[in-house]
Amino acid sequence: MTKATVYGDKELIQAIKNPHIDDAIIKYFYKNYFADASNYIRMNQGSTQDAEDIFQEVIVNFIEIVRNDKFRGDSAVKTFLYSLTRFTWLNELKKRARTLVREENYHKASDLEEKDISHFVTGREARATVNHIIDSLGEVCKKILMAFYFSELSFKEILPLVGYQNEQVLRNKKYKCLKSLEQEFAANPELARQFKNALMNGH
Amino acid sequence: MDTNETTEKLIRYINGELSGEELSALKKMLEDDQTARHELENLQLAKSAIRSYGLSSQIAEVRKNMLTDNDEQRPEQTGVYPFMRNLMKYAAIFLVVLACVGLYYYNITSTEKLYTKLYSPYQLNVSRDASGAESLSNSYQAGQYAKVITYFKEQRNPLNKQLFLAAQSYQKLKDFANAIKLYTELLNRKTENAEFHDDAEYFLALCYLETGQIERAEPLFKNISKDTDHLYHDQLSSWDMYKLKIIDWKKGN
Repeated sequence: MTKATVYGDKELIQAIKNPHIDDAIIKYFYKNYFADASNYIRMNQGSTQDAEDIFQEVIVNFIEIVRNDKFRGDSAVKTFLYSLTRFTWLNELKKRARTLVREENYHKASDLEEKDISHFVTGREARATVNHIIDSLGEVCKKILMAFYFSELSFKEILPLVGYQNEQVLRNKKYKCLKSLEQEFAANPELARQFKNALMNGH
Repeated sequence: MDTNETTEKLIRYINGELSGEELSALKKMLEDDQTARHELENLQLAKSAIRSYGLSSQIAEVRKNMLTDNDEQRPEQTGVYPFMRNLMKYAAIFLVVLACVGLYYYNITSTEKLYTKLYSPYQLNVSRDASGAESLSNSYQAGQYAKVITYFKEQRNPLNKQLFLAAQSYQKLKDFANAIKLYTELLNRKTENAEFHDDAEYFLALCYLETGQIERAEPLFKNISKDTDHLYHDQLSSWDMYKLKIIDWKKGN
């Protein structure tokens, strides 16, 4: 059994800034920060599945915050993630419009640091909509675009993954897939604006 | 430059594939072409969206594998709250079991059953007594309880033993009123000889129990239970005392 790596906050931040996140980092997030987040969500009307969904969202958000140099390091990663979880979950509750009380709590929420964090959860719906649009592109498009832009594979490496006969066919397909997605933004400028804001973490 | 060609160039640009003159030409075109600038912005958004989606997918995949491989302790099994929840779960199960057991014993416990468990007729030691007492004792040993009572009634100043055996006989014949009367009389005797005192106390308590006078039986049983020197101390278990309590509850006291 391999011993799990222990990261200090600085090491963790540095590792996140790499273009490719190692799976070990993701595991580290779950092993060290998920229990608190999960407890909070489940104690506040959330289910285990809610905790899983929200925490996944929180990790993505945190990684993007760090990559955009928006994490100032004033608080520990653990504290920041917990606050981010709280705001994301309260935002979700607000979205579900379950209770007025929750909404009041959300607005009353706490100290300056937390108010500072609250803007990081803006644009959640835009992100969800965009993810839904990507899903609707179809499996082949997703595979090609992810392989190219996320995994940063070459066309040669992608070719066997999709079973195309030559690179030109693949290039054409990739072009169409990306253009489809671009057209979704072109057709919905408000979505594009909100999504852009979300990517910039509310700024 | 046609639309497809522009898009192609913009995609190559966001892919970082342009350089030199191609790059300079595109930058110049972007300065003059607002539509192209919008398209570029949306293409860059699309690229960012794919990366963000990819990150989510990677995290979801890692998490799925973690749960599948049981590579970590499930969150539900860690931390203080889950521990407390487990503790409360077991406490609740314990309470339910306890309540069921309690209900069961509440239903099956009765004066008759407790009396049957605790009562066994007094066994007289073989000894020779004074004539009157001997006839009485012999009759008792022979199980001739009516005869015992007849002999007893003939005694002007019955001994403790005669009094006790007569009470036993009444009890045996289910004449609890007279049994209680004689046991009480024996217990009230202010004599130096406390013979049959403990026996009378125990059997009197049983008579009260059988006749449903729990409020009278209970103090006597409690005395016997507390007094380790009492002859009948070992006859009573703590469980018998609980049963007595249950009978008392059932009576609504």
